[in-house]
Amino acid sequence: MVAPWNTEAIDSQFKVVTPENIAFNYQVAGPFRRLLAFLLDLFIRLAVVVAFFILLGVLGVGNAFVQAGLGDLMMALGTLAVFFFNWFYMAAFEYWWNGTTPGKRLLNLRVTTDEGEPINLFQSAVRNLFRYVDMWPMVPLPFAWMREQMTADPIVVTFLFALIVPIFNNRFQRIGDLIAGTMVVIEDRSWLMKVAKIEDDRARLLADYIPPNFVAPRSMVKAVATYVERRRYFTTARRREIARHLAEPLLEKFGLPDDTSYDLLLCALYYRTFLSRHSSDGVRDDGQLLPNPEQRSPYENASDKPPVSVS
Amino acid sequence: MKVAQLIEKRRVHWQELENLCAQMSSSRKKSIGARNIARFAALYRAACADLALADSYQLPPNIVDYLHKLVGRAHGQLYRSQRVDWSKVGDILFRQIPREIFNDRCVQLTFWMFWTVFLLTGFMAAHPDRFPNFAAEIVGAEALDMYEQMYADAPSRSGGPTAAGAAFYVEHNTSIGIKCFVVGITVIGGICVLLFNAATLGATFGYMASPSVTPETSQHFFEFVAAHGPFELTAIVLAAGAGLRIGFSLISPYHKEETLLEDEVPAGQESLYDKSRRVAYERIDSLRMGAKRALPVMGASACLFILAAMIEAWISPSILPQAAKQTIAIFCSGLLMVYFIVLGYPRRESRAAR
Repeated sequence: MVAPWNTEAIDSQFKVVTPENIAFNYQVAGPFRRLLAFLLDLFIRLAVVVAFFILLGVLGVGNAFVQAGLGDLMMALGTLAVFFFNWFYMAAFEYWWNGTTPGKRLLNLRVTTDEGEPINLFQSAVRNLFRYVDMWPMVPLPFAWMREQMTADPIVVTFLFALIVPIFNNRFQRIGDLIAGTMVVIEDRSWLMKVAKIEDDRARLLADYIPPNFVAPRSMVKAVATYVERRRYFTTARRREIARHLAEPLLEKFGLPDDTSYDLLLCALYYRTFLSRHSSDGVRDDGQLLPNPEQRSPYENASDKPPVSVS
Repeated sequence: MKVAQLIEKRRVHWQELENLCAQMSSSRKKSIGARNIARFAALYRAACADLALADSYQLPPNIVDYLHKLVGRAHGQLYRSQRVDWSKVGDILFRQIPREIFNDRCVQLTFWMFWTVFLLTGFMAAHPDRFPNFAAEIVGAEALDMYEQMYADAPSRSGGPTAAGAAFYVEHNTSIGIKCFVVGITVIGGICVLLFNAATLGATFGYMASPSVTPETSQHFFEFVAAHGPFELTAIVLAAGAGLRIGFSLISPYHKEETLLEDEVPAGQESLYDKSRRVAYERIDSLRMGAKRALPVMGASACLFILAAMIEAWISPSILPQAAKQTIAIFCSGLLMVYFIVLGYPRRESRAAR
């Protein structure tokens, strides 16, 4: 069986097919972004522990408890809290917060299954228990004098497994991820960019010279759009250099003079494709799609129109 | 219609969907209201449709990109982690898990390994005339001295039951169990940890029973250990077994039956019988199947660890007479046998289903 993702492009995009029969792309999170999230979570845990120590020790709450005869109960709760913090902090958050922990949420990361679905309790527990293996190999400190001065087990946690295992699969999965069948994706909110404006009148005029029956193929439309949306960052010479590869054969095809500006031609093509009246032939006006219920009176006949018309 | 106009028209809907996503991720679903949820669903479906049509509309790539992310976010809000179905827990705990454990070869393996080593080291440490210094070499002389001092007093006189003790035992023992389980993925590591535990425990028990310890100390020790011993030792065996299950599923993957293709079917008499072959799963898939089978065992082990910790904290150091503690130990062992053998013994219907 060939894994389906092996045939995809190597760009950390992962295609998810939803029950609505739509395929969309998730971007898989790389190790460094995840490391940052992990450190944030670690910091948060540390901060909570320190806050508790301050509360109990410095502010004297602990002494009050002991005087009230609750010292034993407080010790018990403290030990249990440390236990759950150590082993189940991440798992609990990932379960309740739908695959995110505070650190992940700050960095827009989310844990999903291999198929892009939400994780369940079993998966969040497994992928986090196996963090213990990620810390391997645990190396004892090399110097005898260091060992004598430290009281607890003098062990260096190398995190080598956490670094090496993700290299060998396409989705940067840790050991715990592999066992539970999960991955971490980036869930960015990105700004909706507008369609680039073509201020230059000459481009609009030039668009009329493009043969009306010319329909640009998809890949060309993509290239032109990418170019035009970014051209304002380039100098004139750079624009000319980049646009030449696409514009030269097009000029020849359209029978336009050779000294036409390459940049201008691509702008004209962009205008033709996205902005002019000719663009998107055959797409009907679907203004009736999705009437906003907030804007209508509740007693308006809501039943005669389907709420969504999927064209 | 112009593409630019089309996008302008839809942008309102997209941004509304984005706002709803933000609301849903920050507050509980119930507080959003039914109308908004219905609206969210409609907007989500519309965005899906837009994404599907983006190619034929020939939308600019950055907008397609935006739509991918928007649909991804909405998808993540619509399909959320499922709550645990607590009504099934009883069925899983008292019907499925015992049968699983009874049939689990890995648990059987760890069971025999643990008890063989435990009894062997126990026997050797209990006879210092034939195996001099054996216990000291396994456990360490200082540790043995420490144990001897600890149990010089009767358990009821050293402290007594405390909540802090209970919490400590839960934390300490369950951590050991989880580590034992997790390390099992390396098979060798898991077996080593198991055998180490078996040897040290066995040597300690044997040493305490040996004539080199005063009979009083020995009696105090066994009085303390008896009540929680059955649960705790079983829990270690189960945790190690669950870990080994994962490790073995990685080393030797699970197999499945696959029917032969038409041109692969052997000719003549054999073709009547051999119509399938055994094919190994990929290691990743096998790992996942192993984990799925191992986790219930680990869950049972965690339950036992917590029970053992409770007994260890509340009953073992208490002032109850020794006979009561021994009764509890026998009762616990009986419970374990009922759980694993009576509940776990393979039934006719489960065999028929296979």
